[in-house]
Amino acid sequence: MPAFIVLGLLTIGALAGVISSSLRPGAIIGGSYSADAWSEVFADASFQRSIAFTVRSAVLATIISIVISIPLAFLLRHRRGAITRTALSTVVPVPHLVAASVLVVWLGPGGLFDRLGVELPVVRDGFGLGLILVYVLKEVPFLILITHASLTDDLARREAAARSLGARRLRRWATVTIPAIAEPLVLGSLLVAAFVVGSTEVPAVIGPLDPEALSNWSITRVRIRGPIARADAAVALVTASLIVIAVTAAVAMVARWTIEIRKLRR
Amino acid sequence: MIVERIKFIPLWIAVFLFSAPFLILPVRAIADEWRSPALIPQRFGTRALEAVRNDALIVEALTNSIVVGIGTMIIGLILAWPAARSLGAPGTPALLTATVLAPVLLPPLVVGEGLRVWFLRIGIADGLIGIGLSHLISVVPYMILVLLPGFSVALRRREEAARVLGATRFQVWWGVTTRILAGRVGVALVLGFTISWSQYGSSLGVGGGIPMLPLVLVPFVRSDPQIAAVLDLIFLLPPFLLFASALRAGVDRAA
Repeated sequence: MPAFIVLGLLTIGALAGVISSSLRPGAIIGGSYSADAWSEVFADASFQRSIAFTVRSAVLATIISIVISIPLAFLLRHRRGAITRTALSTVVPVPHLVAASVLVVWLGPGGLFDRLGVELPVVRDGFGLGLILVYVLKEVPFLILITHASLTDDLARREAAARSLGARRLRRWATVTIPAIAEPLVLGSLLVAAFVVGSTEVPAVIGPLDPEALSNWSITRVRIRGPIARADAAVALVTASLIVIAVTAAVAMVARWTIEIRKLRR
Repeated sequence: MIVERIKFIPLWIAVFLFSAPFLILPVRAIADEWRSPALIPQRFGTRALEAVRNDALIVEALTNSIVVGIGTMIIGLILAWPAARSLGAPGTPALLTATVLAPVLLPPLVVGEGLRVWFLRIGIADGLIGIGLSHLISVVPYMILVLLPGFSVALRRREEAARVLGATRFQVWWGVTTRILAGRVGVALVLGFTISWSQYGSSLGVGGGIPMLPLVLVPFVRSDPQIAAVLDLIFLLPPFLLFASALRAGVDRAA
């Protein structure tokens, strides 16, 4: 299949390229291999802060988005009107960069909230509240819609059957509803978390300057130190990829265990 | 009835909070003068529109993004169509589908910086071809995802029926497959364009300074919010085309 070959070559090529860059300090092409950049970068306090900040932002943005989207998806289930769904759907294809830009207009210095006398220092704040807010603003509608899509009539019938068999609300929720929404919700959340870890444009617009998100840390490193720091930048990018791979592997493992446990119960 | 309606208030508030902030963009785009602490612009005009039209860098970025977007969506469809067909076949392992879709999880800047190393060797870094190729990593999996449900058992049965009735391979493809999948293909093409259109990290990594729309937009968010708002609105055109085409495809299917 041509798509397999092209995607495989590009993906493996990208990872191999960035790993190779991280092992060849000062050289884009050629040069001898060494792990100096790795030891130097991991000893750097700003890089350590950057890892913690990126992981924290990803975890918080994902958890907050999930917590908000689940009850809203269930409310949407009982609402037949198409306007609500359409309004939510319009937000999904909006680029994150536009969402960040809009948030600056509302919440930035001299923004509309500022003019109303409501000070919300979330643009470039040290904790990254503005950054998290952009992700929540963009990802909640996405998670609501994919969760809502799994709340089918068939699920309602199964819930009714469980009720008629005497299952209480909590038990119905745990044994019928959650398993039905878990797969799309977990996959959607994985996409959200991966996006937050790898995003460059949103932190560039609204994120703090210290600590920076990993991708932005790599850009700043090269801007300040010059092309000699390309290996350092590559270390940050490999680290971001490893975080995404670790999260994906963890999700896959949990999904597998869940399937195994369900099989055993049957 | 009232209690029933009150139940939905959190949903309505959420919908308002998630969609209303974007309505500020058209106002910001034509607010030539909007000094703090005024809540309403002091003067409306087309300063930003003219600035965007006369800025050679922005025009070049816009042209580059359109060219790369069109190229990527066409190549993306050529790659995604057979992949979706194979993955849609009954009995395809879920792991195979997951493997094809996994590249979207890779951070875009990793894609850009990683591919740059190899593209420099073959002379396609710092150019539109390199940028387009790097976009394929994100574009193809999503196009497959859109096309995949279309290659259903029902479609295969109709193709089989056409073959039994004596249709040639081309007639089956043109008369049955493309007609049934036309809506999905439309959505996949616009989605492909939209994803390529909004790529920041990979364009930055591979492009080496080639102007693309998202790259020129970022500095304006701080330096000139009015121009940023105009660029935001231009940036929103393909996503809304995607939304309209998806809605249309949904209506077609329902009909």
